[in-house]
Amino acid sequence: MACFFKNSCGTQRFPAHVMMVVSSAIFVFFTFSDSYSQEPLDSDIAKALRKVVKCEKIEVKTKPENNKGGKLKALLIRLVAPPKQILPADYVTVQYTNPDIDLISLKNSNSFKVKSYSNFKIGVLVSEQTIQNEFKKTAKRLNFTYNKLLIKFTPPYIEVEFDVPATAIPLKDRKLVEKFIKNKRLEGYATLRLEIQDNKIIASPVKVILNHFLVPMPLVSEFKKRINPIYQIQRIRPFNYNLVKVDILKQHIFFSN
Amino acid sequence: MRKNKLLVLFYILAGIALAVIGYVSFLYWQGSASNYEPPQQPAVSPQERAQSDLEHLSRAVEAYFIKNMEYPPQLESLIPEFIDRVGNDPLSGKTYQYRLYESDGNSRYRISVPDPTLYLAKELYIEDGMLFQK
Repeated sequence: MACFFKNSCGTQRFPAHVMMVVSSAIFVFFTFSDSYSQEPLDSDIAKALRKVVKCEKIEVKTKPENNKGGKLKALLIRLVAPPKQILPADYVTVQYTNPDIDLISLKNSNSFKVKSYSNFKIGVLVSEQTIQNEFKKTAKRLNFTYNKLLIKFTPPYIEVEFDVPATAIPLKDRKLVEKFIKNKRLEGYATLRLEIQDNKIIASPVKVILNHFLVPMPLVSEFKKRINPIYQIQRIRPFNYNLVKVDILKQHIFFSN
Repeated sequence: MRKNKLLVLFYILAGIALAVIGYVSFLYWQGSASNYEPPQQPAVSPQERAQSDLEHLSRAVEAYFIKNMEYPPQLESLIPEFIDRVGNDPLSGKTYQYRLYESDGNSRYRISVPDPTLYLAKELYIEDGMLFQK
């Protein structure tokens, strides 16, 4: 500090100081966009995402490149319990490889933008329990009453046992199964496989039993045409993706791009 | 002549009625609660079975990653949430091998059969969801 005052008074050494200050300013200016210590970066990304994605928890992990300050090798974002109206899932994890994050936007306007990346992976995990809960909520909202609905994951299938009043099925679809209706009820079992095309979930019944009768395959195929797609997965902004793979695991459905 | 024609018609109708009754009985018999189970998987060769096991384990590893933001330290960590059991390679009877490593700053995993030569290959593994047989 003393040295600084001494130098600033000395007219001969003034240009050297100006040079030092200017070069420092240039250095700070040019490295600003690149330098960002890791912990604040993680929390700033999480903060920016919290502005646009309302979910229980957002976790961010970044892996910096060894030599280039501020550059990232990988960025991992995990959303826990994302908004149910968009996607009734338990976990969504996004993985960017070599992402180039717009640090100026992040710093100035607290918005998360990835300018470029070499690879992008997203996975969505939905548990058996979440599906049961979602079904209960939907049934309540639509005034759809049922006596029994058991969902079990038996990879690669989903098994469903049900006992529903015939009136719970829309009239146009009810005609298809009216021969199987007994005492105004439909009780039975179904084995399904899931497919996903362009974020639309398609259920493929493999075996359907209604009121003690195995439903013939031509009728099952017709039913498949009528009920699909059973669900359209909404994109969670700001991520842009198409889910194209679905797998049934022991207690979860796993969607990925 | 006409009587013969009627008799033939009668037999045809009786045959059709029997076929329909048989079909309906079959559907009824197949629809009992004891048949509330998924269809049997077709029998496959050991190679197809090993590939299918590797793919299933790989999906479970990826799902574990989605939940925990890291790959499982060992395949047994997937039990009971993602799989029932790790299972053995059909030809050697040994458990599948699992390895974690770093590449381009990203964690990666490889699941392989214990002895690929039994499948007439130098290597048979799945890495990052992609199956390789060399």
